[in-house]
Amino acid sequence: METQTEQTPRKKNVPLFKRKRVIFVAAIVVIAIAVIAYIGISKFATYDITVSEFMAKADYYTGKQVRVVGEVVPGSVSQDTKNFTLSFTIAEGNESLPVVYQGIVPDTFKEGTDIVVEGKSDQQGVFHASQLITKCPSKYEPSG
Amino acid sequence: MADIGYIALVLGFVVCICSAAVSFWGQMRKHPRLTAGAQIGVFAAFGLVTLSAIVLIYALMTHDFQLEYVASYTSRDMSWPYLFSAFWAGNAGSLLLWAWLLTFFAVVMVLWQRRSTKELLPYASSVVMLTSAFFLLLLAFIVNPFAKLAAVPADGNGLNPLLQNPGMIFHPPALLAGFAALTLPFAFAMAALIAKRKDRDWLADLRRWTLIAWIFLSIGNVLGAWWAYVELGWGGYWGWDPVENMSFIPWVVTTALLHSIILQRTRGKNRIWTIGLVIIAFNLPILATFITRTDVLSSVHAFTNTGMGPAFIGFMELGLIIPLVLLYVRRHLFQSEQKPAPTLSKESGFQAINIIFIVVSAIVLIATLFPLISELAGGSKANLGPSFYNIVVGPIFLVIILLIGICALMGWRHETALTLLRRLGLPLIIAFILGLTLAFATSTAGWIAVSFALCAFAACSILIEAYRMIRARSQARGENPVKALAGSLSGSRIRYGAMIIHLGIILIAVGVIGSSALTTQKDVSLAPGESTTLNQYTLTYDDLQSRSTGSTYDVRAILSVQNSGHTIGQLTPEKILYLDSMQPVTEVAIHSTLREDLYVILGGWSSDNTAQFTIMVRPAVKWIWIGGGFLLFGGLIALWAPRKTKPKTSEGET
Repeated sequence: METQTEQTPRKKNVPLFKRKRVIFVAAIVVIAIAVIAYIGISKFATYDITVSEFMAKADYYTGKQVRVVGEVVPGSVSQDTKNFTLSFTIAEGNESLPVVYQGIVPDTFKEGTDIVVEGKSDQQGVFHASQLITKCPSKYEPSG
Repeated sequence: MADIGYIALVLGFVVCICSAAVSFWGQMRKHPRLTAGAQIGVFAAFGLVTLSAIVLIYALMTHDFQLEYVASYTSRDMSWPYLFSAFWAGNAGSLLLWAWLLTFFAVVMVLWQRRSTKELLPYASSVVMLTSAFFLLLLAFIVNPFAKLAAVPADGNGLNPLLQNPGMIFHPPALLAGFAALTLPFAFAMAALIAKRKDRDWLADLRRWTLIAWIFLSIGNVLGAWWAYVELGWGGYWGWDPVENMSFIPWVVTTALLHSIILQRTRGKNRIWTIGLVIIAFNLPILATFITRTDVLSSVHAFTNTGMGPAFIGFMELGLIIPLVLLYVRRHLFQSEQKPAPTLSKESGFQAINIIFIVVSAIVLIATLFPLISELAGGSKANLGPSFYNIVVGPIFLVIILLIGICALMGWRHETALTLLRRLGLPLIIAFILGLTLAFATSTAGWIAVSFALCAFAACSILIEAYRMIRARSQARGENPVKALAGSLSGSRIRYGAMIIHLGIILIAVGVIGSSALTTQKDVSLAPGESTTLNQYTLTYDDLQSRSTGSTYDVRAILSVQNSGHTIGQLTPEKILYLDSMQPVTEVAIHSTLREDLYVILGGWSSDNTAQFTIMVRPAVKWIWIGGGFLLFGGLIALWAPRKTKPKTSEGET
């Protein structure tokens, strides 16, 4: 049994071969995971751009998955309950962008608040959002 | 009244600083009187912080709207559990709770001391008191919870409706307790470094406090997922939100730390890992708080900017630099004097697990900070969404499940591939049969079948491990199996605790795989009287009812549900509109069974009562909550373990 916890074994230097092997295996694991992470980042990273940035390069962004940040224009929201469709306009600076969204509307979606819409725009310049991210200033701070 | 609370905070800060200094100096110079006095300081600090907490709770309960905090988070119509929970609804209050928990743990540490590590206690308590002092400093001078308003409002703002859920009462305190408890392993590690302890005995304290922190973090994370699932109304339980990530990473690192401690206690290995993980685990909650409360990242949970940034950065630098300097000064304690573990042994399994845990936390941390990093690197703000995490973290967790299964049946020291393979034979066969059946008999996708097979493999291994332990005992002592089970359970509680925890992890994995891969979803619009079907369920939309209470306007849809023709009852998804904030809150309706959850969200309605529903069938979600229960139960059993380390040490108490 291990009565004395700290006996020093005879040799301080462990066989180089074994030590190398451990480092080698660890390196492979780390590299493998780094590669997965790199592929993940290059495939899944989406960029936050503002409405004016989006409009400035509208041709470039058409059909690309992006996240656009803007304010929900008061009065622009219309909801079609039958078809699950929510349409509204987001604006920033002097530019505005019409958005169509199908699905459950988040509870925190409100006119006049900042929002992030994730999705793609079509040839007609309508943005089809697959996700609405309400940038609610916070869940914790009072909404006042 | 509020002034008493504030004065108690300031006094508490002074007491903490004094106690820390006296404790440290007294132990350095071996003055038992000084250290005894410093211990009284620990109790005094706890008393003062408790007093200030009571003052704040009293103010919340009695609607003292002169206090900005009370006016911001409560209103007259709130019931008392939520009035109480408003204590930690805001930034200042949650920091006060953190400080209170820290001083509380300090008192527990002093009362629960062990003879063999008595000399470490003054140093450890010094570290805890310094950390408490940091929080009290924040509270007293930057985010005072007792700040007063110039004019007293008639009513407060009320608690955000999304927070008015039982989850609010348990989830934040559990997480904060986990965060606060992570200070204690750090304190003991620093104490051991200062006192130049080379033995393994102090690891018992380290393990105890790490386990306590781990239990709280586990409860906190599972409760958070449960809360999101039942309250937030989007059908999920985990969204890889920055705040979720920042409470997930400490859990992963603490798990790695527990494994590292076990390896060091039983085999004397991994010392530098243990200390390194302790330092990381201590700093992570501080980093988490800094990230989530200073507007660095946007998140659903985020607090608005609170002006605490510089203080947190300063504290984090101290929390990293001091330990690293200490580590460098004491580097002779860590000179490697062991052979590396053979490739096939529990040791290398543990080391592999630790590397994987560290890599997972690094990936999640980098991904969480990615918007910041990419912006600093000159690009625009790039985000990594849930799909990134699922693709990257999912497979890594499957490897962890595989390792759980292998390590359960692997011995310490050396194993030959053949004996290992023979031992793993039965679990492997069962896993293969299950995987093949799933893949070919049912039309499950390949990777899902593989994932379930891995879970079955690991669960099988653990059960065989338990069986072998019981059999060994019953053979050695001639006991009947029941008695042998009871005996071996009380004899090796740590191992059984670990088995239960690992089974819990597997249950959670099954729940996560099942619910994320096999969910079916449907969006429908129904007129009253119409019905729809999803899988074997038929839902008939009977009626839309509305009623208004004083502060809310509730709309509920009534659906009667049939499961393959048998009526199983009614589901009533609701939307509640809080009139003062005009904030709608979705109340989902869930019919939950072990097999699957039927989850109904009321999306909206039009004037002719046509309503819009999202209906989901999510398999195995309940297993996640059951698995969470296993984590708690197994953790408590392991915590209850006898203090004695397995080898009969000459020092240490019996």
